[in-house]
Amino acid sequence: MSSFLGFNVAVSGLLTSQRALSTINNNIVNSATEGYSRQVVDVEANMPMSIPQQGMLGTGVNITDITRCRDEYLDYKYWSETPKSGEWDMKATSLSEIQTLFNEPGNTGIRQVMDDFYSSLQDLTKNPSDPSYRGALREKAITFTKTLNTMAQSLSKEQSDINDEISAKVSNVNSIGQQIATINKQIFNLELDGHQANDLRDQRTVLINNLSKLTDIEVKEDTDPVTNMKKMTINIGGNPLVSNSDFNEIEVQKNKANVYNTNSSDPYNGQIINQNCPYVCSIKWKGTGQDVKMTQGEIKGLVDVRDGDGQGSNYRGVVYYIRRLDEFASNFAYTFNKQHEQGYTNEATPVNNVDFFSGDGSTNASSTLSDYNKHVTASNITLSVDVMGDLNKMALADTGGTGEKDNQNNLLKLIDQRNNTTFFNAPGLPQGKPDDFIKAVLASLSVDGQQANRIQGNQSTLVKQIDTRKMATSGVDVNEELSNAVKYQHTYQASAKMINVMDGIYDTVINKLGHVGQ
Amino acid sequence: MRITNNMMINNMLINLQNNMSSISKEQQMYATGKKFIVPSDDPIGMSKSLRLNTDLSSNDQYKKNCEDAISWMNVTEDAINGVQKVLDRMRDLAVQAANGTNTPSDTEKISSEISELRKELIGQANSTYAGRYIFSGYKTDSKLMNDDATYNVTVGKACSQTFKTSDAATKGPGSAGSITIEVKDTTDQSTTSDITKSTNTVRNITIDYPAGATWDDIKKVINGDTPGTAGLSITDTTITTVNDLTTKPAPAAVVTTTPTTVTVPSSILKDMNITADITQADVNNSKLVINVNSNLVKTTSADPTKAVSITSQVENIQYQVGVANTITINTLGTDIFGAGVNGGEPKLFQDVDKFIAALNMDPQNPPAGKTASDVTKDRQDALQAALKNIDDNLEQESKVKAELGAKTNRAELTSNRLDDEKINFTKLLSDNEDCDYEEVIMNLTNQENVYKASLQIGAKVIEPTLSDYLR
Repeated sequence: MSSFLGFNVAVSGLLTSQRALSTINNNIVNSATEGYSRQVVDVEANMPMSIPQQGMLGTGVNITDITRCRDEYLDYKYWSETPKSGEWDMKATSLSEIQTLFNEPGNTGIRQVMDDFYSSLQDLTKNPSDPSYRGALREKAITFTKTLNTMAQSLSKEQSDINDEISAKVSNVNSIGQQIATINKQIFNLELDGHQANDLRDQRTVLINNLSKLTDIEVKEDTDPVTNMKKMTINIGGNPLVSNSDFNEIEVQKNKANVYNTNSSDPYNGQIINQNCPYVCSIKWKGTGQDVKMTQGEIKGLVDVRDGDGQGSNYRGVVYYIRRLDEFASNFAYTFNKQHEQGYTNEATPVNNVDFFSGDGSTNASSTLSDYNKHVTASNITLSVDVMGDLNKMALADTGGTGEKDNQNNLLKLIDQRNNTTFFNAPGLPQGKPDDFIKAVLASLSVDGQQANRIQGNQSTLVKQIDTRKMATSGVDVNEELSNAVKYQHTYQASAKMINVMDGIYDTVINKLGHVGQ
Repeated sequence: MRITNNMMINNMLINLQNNMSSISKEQQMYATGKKFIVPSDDPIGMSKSLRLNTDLSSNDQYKKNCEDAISWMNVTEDAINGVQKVLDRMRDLAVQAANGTNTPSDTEKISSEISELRKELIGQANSTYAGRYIFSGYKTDSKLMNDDATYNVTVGKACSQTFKTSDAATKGPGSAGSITIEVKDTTDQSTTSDITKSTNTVRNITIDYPAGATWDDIKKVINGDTPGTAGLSITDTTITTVNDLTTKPAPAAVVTTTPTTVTVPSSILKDMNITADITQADVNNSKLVINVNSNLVKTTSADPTKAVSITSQVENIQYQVGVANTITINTLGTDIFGAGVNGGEPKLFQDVDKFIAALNMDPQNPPAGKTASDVTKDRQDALQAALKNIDDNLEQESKVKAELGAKTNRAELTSNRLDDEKINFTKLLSDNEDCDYEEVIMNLTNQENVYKASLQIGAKVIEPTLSDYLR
């Protein structure tokens, strides 16, 4: 037994308390740091010494490890629930933007301009030959077509804005991936001696939390059987984004060329898919050029909204609404024009087969509905060149007799069309009146919006719950830390006192013993 | 479960967020007065809102149309009243004139007053409403009547179609036959007596005779096969030879009685083209039908039981006052004054002219071949006839006015109904869209209380830690 055993024991107590207080200090100052998990010192009594015939004598205290209090299971659970929350968050926001575009119920939406258009048609029945009434009708018709144009253009702009947002988020994914790879390397280096690199792991967890919002990921931390070191892999859609310290970039590729619809059973077969947004991008792995398969997450949510055409099980995104507006415009123009063509104009020699609405100008009296579908869209619908140029070209009369100034029978038929339940009667479209069409579009928009809000609310509650449970395990409680600090402070003071005591003992032994005869 | 300070602060924040979100919703409802702002707040409510707004807008429009219709019909009624007044005065004068004790100067005065009244009638015929002539059918920019009491416009749609006898179902080759021209009501094509409903129907028939037809045969068609049988008398009496038919414009026959059956020689029957104009029929969509030998003339692809026909259309200006509800607002001049086409003098004025002519008959100056007493007798008869004509015309005006009154009543009833509907729709819309202010204010106050309470308690709970109490 060493004579300085007692001294060493006291010193070990001192040092241990010091380390423990240091850790507590660290916990307290980091209590507000994001993702910080509290650190706990594992304190163990040293191996006791055996004193023959007296028993085991303790030899002091030692810190074996400083561990991080974290429930890894909760982390995995968090990473699997957050993508859904992020996805529906994006969908809810985008849908509410689209609802604002439609602006119903309100005074500037399609319903209002359509009502105004038909009102001015009604006014015209009382004064069919009066140029000021015809002029008023032309203005209301222009307002109607311009509203459709603006709405379609705003939806396209929404699409391209979402496109930009996707690009930004993909860069985000890349930057986070890069950072994770760097930290992985640092962790690997620091953990070579078998201890955990607590703070770095915390930082890595924060980065992975942010990543999981953007896309759904699969996180694996395997122990290499040979070296006994932990390696972390993060996969997206089965392909690795981060593989320990290796990082694979994903990139956004702009489709410069037109993308055509090649589904032969689709009514839009042969048409350009990205007509309204020429640089719609797809996301690919930089190295292999394969598509990145995302099934959840903010990026997926944005892609669904940008590309969703509502067919089959696809989400009803901007493309769906643009297509509905296009269908509305082309079918409305077709049905209205067909009736208008049967009427006669108010010129000196009345003629028929005059169109009222037109798209890109290439439709005429012999065009069929599919011609209209190709050439008239919501963004290009306008009044025909004839009607724009000459008010007398509005065909309100139903026969070509000259001098029939007040013949408004064709006009009455045009007005009556609004109540015709076969106004929209194309194959593949549900039958109905123009008001019904608008109502149906808005109904699906509002139901989708409600659904997105609801799922987002539920999911964010769920995620917050998981967060709370995480904090229960790894959060710093100031009261707890302070009480521990008091404990270790006393230990420190007591150990210091013990050193004094030991010092006294040694002093006695060394200086005061063996003075016989001096 | 272990609770840390951060968790408590976090929870407090989450709850405060929830409270603020509720307050924000109530505040929005309070500020806008509406229950829902975006469609996703209430999909069904939004659908209803769209529908009701459209209904309200249509309702306003129909109400305006109703009022305009009533306004137009009032002007029409005033004009007809004017005509009736004139006719009443003429009747008084007719009674006075029929009195045998009038001196020539009395007669002259009556005659000049009738002439003035005649001009007044023409003025009434050309009544306008907002710059449009109300009796001219669709041709509202042209006056109805010229100063000489002939029609300036043809009120009514001229429809024209050519029938070919070679299209007839059967015709005996080489045999003579008869063609029958009649106007049928579209709903019941078997009856033939329909156009006797009114004398306002005018039909112009022109005939293309086949090459090689002889003038004798053609004369039979025009004048009738045998004396006493009907023919299509053509209006142009200068046509006397076959050459005239080819060199002069196609002569028209005006057919006013019905049905007109004409015997046609075989040489002509095999290949006649008959072009018919209906300038007006009393019933909208009545059909002019031509039979050959009691067989209907059909087109090559039509149903043999259906007649080839042309359809007339009365020039009715219609205003819409409901979803499938229109009112015809105008009255045709021909209903009031008599049938006629552009350039023709209607019956009313012919009667007035006959009256004036009767007044001018002077027993002192009898025409050749008549004695003074003959003239006196003729004059009395003519004056009696004039009186009867005036009564007939008054009867017609009453009839027209009664119809007009019925239409005006209908318009007024519709207008009242639209007012009620507007109140109904507005109430429905308000129930659907508008929030109940009392409820909103109560909820808002409630939420504010909850918010304040959570702030207070939260502040109390999150502040103290152990460090406040350790020395």
